[in-house]
Amino acid sequence: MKKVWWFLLGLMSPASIILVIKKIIYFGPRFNAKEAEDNNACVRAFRRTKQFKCLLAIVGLQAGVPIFVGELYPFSAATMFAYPLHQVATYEVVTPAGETLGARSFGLQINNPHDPPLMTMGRYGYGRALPSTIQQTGSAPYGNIASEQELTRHVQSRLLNMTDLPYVTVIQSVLGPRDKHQVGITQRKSFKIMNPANTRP
Amino acid sequence: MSMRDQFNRRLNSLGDTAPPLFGQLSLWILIAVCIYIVGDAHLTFQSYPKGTTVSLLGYIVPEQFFDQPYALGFFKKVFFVSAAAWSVLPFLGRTRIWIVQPLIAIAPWVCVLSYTILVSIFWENLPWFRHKFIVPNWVLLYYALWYLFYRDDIAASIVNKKFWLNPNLYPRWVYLGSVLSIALLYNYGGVSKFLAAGFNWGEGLSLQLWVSMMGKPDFILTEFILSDRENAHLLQRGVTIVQSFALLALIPHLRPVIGLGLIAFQLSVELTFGIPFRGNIVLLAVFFLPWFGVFEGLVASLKKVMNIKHTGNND
Repeated sequence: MKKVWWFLLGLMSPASIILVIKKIIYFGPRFNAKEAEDNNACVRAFRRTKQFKCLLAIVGLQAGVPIFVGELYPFSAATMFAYPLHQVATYEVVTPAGETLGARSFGLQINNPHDPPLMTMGRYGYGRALPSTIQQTGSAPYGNIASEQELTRHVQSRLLNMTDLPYVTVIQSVLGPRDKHQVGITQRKSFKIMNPANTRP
Repeated sequence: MSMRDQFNRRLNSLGDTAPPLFGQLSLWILIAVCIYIVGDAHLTFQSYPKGTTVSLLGYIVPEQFFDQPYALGFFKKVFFVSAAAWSVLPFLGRTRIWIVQPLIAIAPWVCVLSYTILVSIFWENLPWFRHKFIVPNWVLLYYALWYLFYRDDIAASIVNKKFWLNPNLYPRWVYLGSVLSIALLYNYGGVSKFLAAGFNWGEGLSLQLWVSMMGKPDFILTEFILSDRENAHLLQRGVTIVQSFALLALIPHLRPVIGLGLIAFQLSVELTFGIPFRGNIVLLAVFFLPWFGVFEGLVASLKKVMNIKHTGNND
């Protein structure tokens, strides 16, 4: 143990060793103990202030970044279900042979119907890009119903790669308010869309 | 007492300490929650084209890092090992202080960092967001700060086998920081609804549409919502109110009420839409229900019993 004390004493500068000895001679060892206690209290208070400053910075980041900067994990605001839907379209694609194809293969699916559109509320998109779709084009308003022209243009661009299909029938069903109490299919339209690749000479 | 004095007194009380019984138990539950939800992190959509940067890590490391198939698995392993090391710290009483001290300094931060990195990798490879990972991350950070700021006292208590009943170890700010982290996430959920649609958000139609598209058909709540718009309106208004006022959970008397409201909301979301927030439900139950007070009472009575035994032995 003595060795440790000598080692610690060695870490002090000669001037501070002389100061400690002087204090002990003039004021006695009790004064020194009291001073050490005061120093400890001072250090504790300093540490507490440092902790509070650190905590304050963290709370500030936690509260500020999702609002003023955007979605940046782990800073994030849970924005699910934020944009209310008023109506939404679902699609079915039927081939001339009567076979039903998935809406996804024609880019007619709804990506994340419960999530706000991609470029709203401090968002710049998702980590990976989902297959593009005619619905949820990236900005509000949310749940727009595509017109016949938009639908024809969109489906024809996909049909260019499907030369074996001369045409497809797209059934557009609009889900919305049926009356004041319930929701249901309010409108169902069918469009026969020709394949521009198939009709070329 | 002036407002300023009251504020100062409340600010000072953040540094008040309690025995770490509640703190350590809640830490174990938190780590269990993290391990459970980390199981959901995957790279299924890694082949999709890269979207945008959605994490802080995305601005620090090059984009190619997120294309690595092994990074997620590696950080999962690091997280499991460091979480295990952090969990067993209070039981290292038989080891030397020079083993305990560095472990206390390193294990919590490796745990928080590996969790943050692995979830960032997951989000950077995901074509949507998974908000259930956020709250455990923040609470984990507050607990790591606790172990950082109190490392010397914690190490000394562990080595001297006086950890569990030492009244100077668990500061109030860790508990309140955890409550704030949970409340803030829900509060922003409510605020975002107001920002997007104002008071019209809760008119009932949108909930009916979401439920008819994504709801489980046989569930009783699905039928209740779809049967009448007034029912949907009532539920939607209730959700907006509970979420928007979640920050009031910082007031101790209101905390359990808000906690129960949010638990009911999360259970409904899971049972109706199949979107699980089980980790959040557990953390809401731990931090919003009055367990902290219960454990403080338990420790006080334990101490009393031990003192009586001690004086009885002396007699």
